[in-house]
Amino acid sequence: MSSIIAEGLKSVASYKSALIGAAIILMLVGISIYTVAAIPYDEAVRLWRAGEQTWIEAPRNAYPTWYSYILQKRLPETIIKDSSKPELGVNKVIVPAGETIKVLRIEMSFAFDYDDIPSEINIFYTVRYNKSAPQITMTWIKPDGTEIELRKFNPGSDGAYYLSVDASLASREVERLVNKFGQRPSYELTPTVSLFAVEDRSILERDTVTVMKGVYRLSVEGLLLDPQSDFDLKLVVYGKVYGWAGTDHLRRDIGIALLWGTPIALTFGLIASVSIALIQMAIGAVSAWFGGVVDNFIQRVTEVFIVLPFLPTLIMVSTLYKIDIWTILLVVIILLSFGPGVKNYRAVFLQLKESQYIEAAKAFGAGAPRIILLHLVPRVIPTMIPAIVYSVADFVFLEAALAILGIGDPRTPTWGKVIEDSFYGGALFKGLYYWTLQPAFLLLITSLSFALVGLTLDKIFNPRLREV
Amino acid sequence: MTTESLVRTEELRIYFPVRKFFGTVGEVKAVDGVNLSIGRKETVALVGESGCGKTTLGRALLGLVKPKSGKIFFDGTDLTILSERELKLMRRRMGVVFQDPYASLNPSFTVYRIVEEPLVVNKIGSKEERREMVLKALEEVKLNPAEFFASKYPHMLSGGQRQRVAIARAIITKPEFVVTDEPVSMLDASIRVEILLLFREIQKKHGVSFLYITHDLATAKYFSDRIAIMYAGRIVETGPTKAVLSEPLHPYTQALIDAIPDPDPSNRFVMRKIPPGQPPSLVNPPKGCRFHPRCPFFMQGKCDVLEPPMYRVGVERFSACFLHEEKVTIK
Ligand SMILES: Nc1ncnc2c1ncn2[C@@H]1O[C@H](COP(=O)(O)OP(=O)(O)OP(=O)(O)O)[C@@H](O)[C@H]1O
Ligand SMILES: [Mg+2]
Repeated sequence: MSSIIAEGLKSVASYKSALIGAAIILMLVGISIYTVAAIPYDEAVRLWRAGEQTWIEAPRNAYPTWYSYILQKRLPETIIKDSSKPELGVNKVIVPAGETIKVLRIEMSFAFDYDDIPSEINIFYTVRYNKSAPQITMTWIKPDGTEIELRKFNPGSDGAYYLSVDASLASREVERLVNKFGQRPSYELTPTVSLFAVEDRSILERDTVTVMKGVYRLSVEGLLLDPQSDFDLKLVVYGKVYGWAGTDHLRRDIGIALLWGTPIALTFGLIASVSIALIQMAIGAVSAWFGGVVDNFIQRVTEVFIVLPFLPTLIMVSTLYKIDIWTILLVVIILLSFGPGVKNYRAVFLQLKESQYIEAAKAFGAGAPRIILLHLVPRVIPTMIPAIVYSVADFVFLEAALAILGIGDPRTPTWGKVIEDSFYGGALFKGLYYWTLQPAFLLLITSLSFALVGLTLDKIFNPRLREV
Repeated sequence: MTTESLVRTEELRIYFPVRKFFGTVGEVKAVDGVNLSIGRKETVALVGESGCGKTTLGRALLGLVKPKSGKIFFDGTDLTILSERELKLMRRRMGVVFQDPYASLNPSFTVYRIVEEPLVVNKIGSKEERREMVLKALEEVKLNPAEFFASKYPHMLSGGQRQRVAIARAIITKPEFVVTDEPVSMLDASIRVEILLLFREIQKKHGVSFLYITHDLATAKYFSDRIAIMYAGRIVETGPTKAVLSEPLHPYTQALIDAIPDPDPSNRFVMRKIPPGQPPSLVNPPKGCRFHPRCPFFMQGKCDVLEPPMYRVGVERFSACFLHEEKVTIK
């Protein structure tokens, strides 16, 4: 058998399509190894399940970074400035102005030369005081010098200023533009736009708004009324791209799910197809070898399982018991162990069992286990290989399909899960194609690669088997 | 009867159930009351039409099918009452060569492993000893150089070479008895003689007893000491090969020989045509003598009523036909 397989593999190399398939499989395996090594599974699950707090500094529904190249446009990336971590462009000074009163001044500046307006702006602050909360004024200064007072307040505790959804700021901005151009903007102006747009009449139309490039500044002035009082803030200007795969509606990096989806898909597909094939073969062998009552029993059980509707049963099981992906795998294996394959393998074994070389083996005294393991099974394995390779793709798809139907494992980041989220998030409706298409593409090339290799293996192994 | 017989059957019956949906609807009486003995160092040819039960009889002698009734003695031990374990030990002393050299070798094994396998199974010798034995066996069947052939797979060999591998496998455990089931019928005519010569050589050298199953009278004549003619599950005539072929006693044997179209000087006894009529059904064999529907000497009220016993007709010659009734005494 080893010679047949070795020869078979050698001739695989002479098929171009198989080489492409094998290259893709190798790549997927490479990705899997990298992923497992770089992001531990628990960490991946934690990140995926963490909720918005962990991902608060990531943009929502951001495109993958490579969108910039496709659109030939520099899409903004996320900019973060933190007053507690001084760096170039971040200044914080506290000057005493009396016995207990101090004056706080924070200046943040950043260059912005992207071709699009950021998606969102948030300011997170921490505050410390004894009796009286500090008095804070935040001012936004655009590159052309336009000063916009954002907010004046006494922060009583740590918190966040969601600038993009500040309704009062929005209406003040509309008013400012009305004063300046004598006309209201024709659309619902958000602070994000007015803070980043060129200050001319183009700002009045949604389609003509242009980004003002240059150095932006956030200036904060405060009165610290207690001796121990302090105030720090973190400015997050959310971009429109994130990572290589973008983010979803919960700001999560889709890349994590795509990366982790690879080893999960491959493991799920391989374990399912190999174990189902081996179990079916073993059952078929037992059925054919022992015959009689054993055979009858196995055949009836197989028929019951064949008529049992696979998907509905699986859906029923997984709704009754909230199960994780590996339990789903187990259920799939159990449901398919007595699949139609049993009948095929039984037929093959029945035929092989009667062959003269088996008779010869019995004649020189070989026992049943030796005959089955050494003389029967190795004959069947080459025929199994193409089928196993084919069905890997089927099971990868099955896992994704289950996730899309919402009966997958909610914990584990998988390709199917991303597709499901994208459906619920209205990705295609909102034009967030990357969200759906990236996992779909991975599914596609995975099944394509296994199909290509399986097809070639079929060509190689099956005619040879007919011949020998 | 040969005084010292190695293999002997007594009223051996082997029936296969005929199944239909649920339950058994009848039985194929593949072997139905066979008495056959094979002496030490003797070659017995078993000749008959296709489907008359030759292979089944051969398999039974190896303990590969359980008989319905009767006994099979191998060197005095009744195989039919042995357990599977004891049978395995006995099988070490037997070998088998099948008809189809393409089907009788495991295609995923090398020649070396194929020939070594009986030794491994029977736990004979150390690894080095086994290697020596395998190479010697390959040399013995004229697969030279042995090392070269040992590394080959069956699909790399010709039919004749494969059959030699099968022979090497059959003789590796130094058996006393070898069943060869039509070992040359699938081979090219030019190779047949070589293989048969090889059998003869092995027999001379090791003193092996052979059961040579064939439907080719020419090779039977060439190769065997004694011949047994089988018809529909029963032996109808036995005797020294030359005598039986030159002077057949049973009408069926006569018909077999007459069916040879061209008895030219080279005596090519090749069975071209079966005697007129159809071989009978083994599920419902004819009453009385099974050959009576086709027999030219059919005697109404006798042949279709009574089963003819084996008559002794001369030295070492037996025939189951009522024609001998007056001439001879019952065996
Ligand atoms: N395992 C089996 N199960 C059922 N019937 C069988 C089995 N083996 C043989 N038979 C039947 O027994 C009869 C005798 O078969 P057998 O193979 O012994 O004939 P044969 O003389 O060797 O024929 P051939 O010359 O074609 O090889 C046939 O009718 C066959 O169908
Ligand atoms: Mg036969």
